[in-house]
Amino acid sequence: MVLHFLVPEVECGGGPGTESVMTYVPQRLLVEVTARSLIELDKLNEASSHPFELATESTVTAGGRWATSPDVTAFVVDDSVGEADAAELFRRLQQDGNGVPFVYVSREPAVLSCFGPFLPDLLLRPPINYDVLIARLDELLSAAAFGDVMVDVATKGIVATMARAFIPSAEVHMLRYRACQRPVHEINATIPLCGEAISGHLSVSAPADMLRRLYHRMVPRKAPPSDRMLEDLVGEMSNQLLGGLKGVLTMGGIDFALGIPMMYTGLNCPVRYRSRSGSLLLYIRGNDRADEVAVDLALDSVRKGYDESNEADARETGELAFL
Amino acid sequence: MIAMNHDDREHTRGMNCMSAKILVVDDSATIRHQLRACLDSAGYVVLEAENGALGLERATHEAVDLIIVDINMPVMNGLEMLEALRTVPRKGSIPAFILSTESSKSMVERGKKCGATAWIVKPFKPEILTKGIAHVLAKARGAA
Repeated sequence: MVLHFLVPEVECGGGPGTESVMTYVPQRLLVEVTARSLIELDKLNEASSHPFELATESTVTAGGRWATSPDVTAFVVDDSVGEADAAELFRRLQQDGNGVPFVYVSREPAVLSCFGPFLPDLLLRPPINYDVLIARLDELLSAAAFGDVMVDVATKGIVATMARAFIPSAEVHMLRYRACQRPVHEINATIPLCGEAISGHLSVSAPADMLRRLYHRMVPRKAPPSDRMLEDLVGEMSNQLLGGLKGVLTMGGIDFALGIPMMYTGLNCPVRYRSRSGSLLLYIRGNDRADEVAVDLALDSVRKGYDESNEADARETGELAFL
Repeated sequence: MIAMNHDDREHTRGMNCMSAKILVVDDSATIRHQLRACLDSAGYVVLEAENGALGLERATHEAVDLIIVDINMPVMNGLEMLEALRTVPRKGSIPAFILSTESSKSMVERGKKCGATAWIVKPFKPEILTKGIAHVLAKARGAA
């Protein structure tokens, strides 16, 4: 293990006539797990700020020992340890860890399916200098993701897909920000998203009665759907809505991978994902006011702005393209 | 985009008298049911599988004329399934439509490399899907 102690902050207490006290302010600890670091640590001295201590481990076993440490702010794991090993550490941290962010550094475009069903909080591609890493982590930890453009684009992508696939004439009838991640309705599917420029979760919840009506509209001659089918329907809804969001964000230069939907049922059941941001909650309705779906989008990291100049490349959903 | 008129529908129905078998591979039962309803009414025989591994098994051991496959699925994804199927004797040329929420150029390129015939971004439009299928099956039968 290599520990780099970076510029410890020191507070000087006391005043005239009192004894001066030196107080060590605990720094945030970054655990890097790597066989060959992809972060330009040799440029540390050029970094403009040094808010982290850094612990470097060369194996996932050693990295895993930090799982329950209350001092760790983030794990930075790169593909030099092997994608399978990185995924194993990720799963272990999901089970035993304190919910700190997991940053995956990959030299190749990462498939990420080995991490499923959850995904890393941040995906980075080398070269990464320390300033970039700190900026991304600060962004992740403070998560001020929802600018006006992002709200517009997210709303557009989600509502358009909802209207095409599930609720004709769907529109947002209420939009608000909230800190809570509990589902609004009793059947919920939550799906992670992760890319080099964005990470977060999309969560869809709907009432069972509404889902039964929706299923009958989609598959008219089928027998009444079981509870399992209703969960599947919400799962597919979350998948398609996130796909629609991905479609519009990709046009603006922001790409990401979709995870696998995780199902939660029951009112007020806790949804097992962590978010450092408030989330954007959209209540979407059709002409029938009883057809209401709540879509909750939590974005932990958005690195770059949406570039509207690429919108002409849009591919319509439902369109068939021969390859 | 493919539009469809009345004549096209008649043509589609005529094609289906031969009861082509279509294998639908998707982990979502909702999508499988939707596809079955759409393909049944167009006169096709529908087989189902809920992941790539099961889809590969069905496509390997049964006579299938066309496959509709999702990408993101547990156990084996759709691209892996198509890659594996291309190595199975006499199964390499089965036309395959990818039906996915994925739409990025890089993913479409991967699909092409795996031998996919066509790509549709979910949600699908039934009339466009059935017209595309009729077109591809007619072409395949013409070639045979």
